[in-house]
Amino acid sequence: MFLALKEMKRAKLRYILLSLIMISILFLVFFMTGLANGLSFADSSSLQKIKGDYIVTNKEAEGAVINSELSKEQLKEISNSLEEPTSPLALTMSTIAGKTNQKDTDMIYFSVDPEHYGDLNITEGKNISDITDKEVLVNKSFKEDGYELNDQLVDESTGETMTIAGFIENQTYSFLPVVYSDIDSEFQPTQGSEIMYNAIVYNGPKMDIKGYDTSTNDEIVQSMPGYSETQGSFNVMKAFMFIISAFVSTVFFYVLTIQKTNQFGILKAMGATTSYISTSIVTQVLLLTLISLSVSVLAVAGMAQVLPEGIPFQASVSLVLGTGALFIILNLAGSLLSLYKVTKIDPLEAIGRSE
Amino acid sequence: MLKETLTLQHISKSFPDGDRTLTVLDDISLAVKEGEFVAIIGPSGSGKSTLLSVIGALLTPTNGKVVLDGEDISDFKPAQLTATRASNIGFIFQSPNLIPYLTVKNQLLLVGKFNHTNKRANLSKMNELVQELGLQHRLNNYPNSLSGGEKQRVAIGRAFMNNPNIILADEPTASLDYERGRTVVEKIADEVKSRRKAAIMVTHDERMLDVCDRVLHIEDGKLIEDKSSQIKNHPTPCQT
Repeated sequence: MFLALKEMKRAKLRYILLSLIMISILFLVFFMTGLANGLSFADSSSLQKIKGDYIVTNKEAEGAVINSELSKEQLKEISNSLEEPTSPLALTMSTIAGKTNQKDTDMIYFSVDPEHYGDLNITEGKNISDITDKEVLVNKSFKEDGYELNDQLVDESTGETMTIAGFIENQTYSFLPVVYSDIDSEFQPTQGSEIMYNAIVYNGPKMDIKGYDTSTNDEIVQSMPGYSETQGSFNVMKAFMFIISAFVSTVFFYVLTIQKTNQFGILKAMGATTSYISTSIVTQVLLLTLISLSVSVLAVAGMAQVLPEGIPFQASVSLVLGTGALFIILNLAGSLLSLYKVTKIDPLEAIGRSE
Repeated sequence: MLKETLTLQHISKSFPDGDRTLTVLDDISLAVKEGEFVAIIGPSGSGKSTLLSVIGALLTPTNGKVVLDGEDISDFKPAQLTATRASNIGFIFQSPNLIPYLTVKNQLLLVGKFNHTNKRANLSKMNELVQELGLQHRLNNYPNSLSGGEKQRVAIGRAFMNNPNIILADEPTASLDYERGRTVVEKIADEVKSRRKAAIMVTHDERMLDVCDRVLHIEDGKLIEDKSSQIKNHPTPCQT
């Protein structure tokens, strides 16, 4: 501790420069992680929040709800083979006509059976089980477009008018705000005359139904077209940034250790143990990493405050803690190289040599 | 009767050199008493540094016994050697080799940390040495603002911090001019006398020899006592 702190105090510039590099890289890691999370969230939060233990889709869709098509007969067939009450689910993209002088709003209907569908997290108004025929629940983002409770919405393609009965939070699919509606009110535009359903949602134990897939919410999200590809690229970037930052700090401390070989030799000749010197190096690595972590977390938190609403950014405490812990572990692992160097320093070299 | 602080009994040290073995130290015996300041001179390659390393618990001898303060250290494991160096040996190196980021005060206090000396004792020892070496006004200076002589004085203080029984100096005047070098050697002699320590100084500089009690020559690994220089030596350094 003694040596570590005194040295950092004396050679401030050197350590500040390294901290700046680590802070920038960490900031980027946190920012990108938050962005990747936000994107994933905007893409799939509504699927993640489907109120049901399992979602049944047809085999061809391979778990992608949007690709699954179920007819009325199939719906009946599935319902019959399940003991629990079920709700159909239909996803339909459409557009709400804007009020005068306002832009239209693209959105997606989540049409369900309100009687058998679980209650949603609402921020205002009624819940799904209480809505009447012409009422819908809409994502909070409609508020930013100037809509209030009990306002009228007009579907541009069907011309149907509906009333906002409540607001739900964080419900988006493919970046589109979700509108929960009663499937029997048939607001959603249909292709042809027959209503097509995407999936069946139910609560209860997992049942395998022949000819259909039964998946959890997580599986449904993973099967979204393009989802795992996007998240995969983000993960590769994150991994590389971690490696780069760990590498930078490893090389920095290694070079510093090599520079100080002579000095460490003197210390060893004076009776300092290898572990005394090593502790000093590890203390420095830990301190720098912790300081850089805190500063970059603060910077990211500040950044999140000033980001415009349109940029999806989501960072949780657990995410930050996990990333931080991993970063510390990687840096400590990197410092092993310097410690190895320290064990190799021979105090004998201090004798018979000038500086 | 003065106590023998250091006794070397038939020390030899050889290193493998290709197919042959190279004998650097050849059957060296030596005794140094407390309060005695011994100089070792010899041409380069004669084994001076190796001898100093063996005495300083940096190397173990191939044959023979090194008894330091009544303890045979010739078969010590590396960890024991380190502990011996930390507690019982004070080194003064060729150049001061101070730690660049420590103030004079902390240079000295650092030594106590290797020994886990208690804080108060460490601090009072430091104050005492700083007074004696005339460094009071330099306590909070870093090495880069000290003169060459001051640096070497700090190095002397550092060597005495752990209250060792033997002080080993490896050409302590090599980086100084005659005046300053002389002062430094006299300081070492003063401390050795007043604290009743034993000291061995390896040097090239024959002008410093009159400060020492005994002068030994080493040549091709063999030690020869210089009788002539012993006679003209004063037990205490002359004040000029």
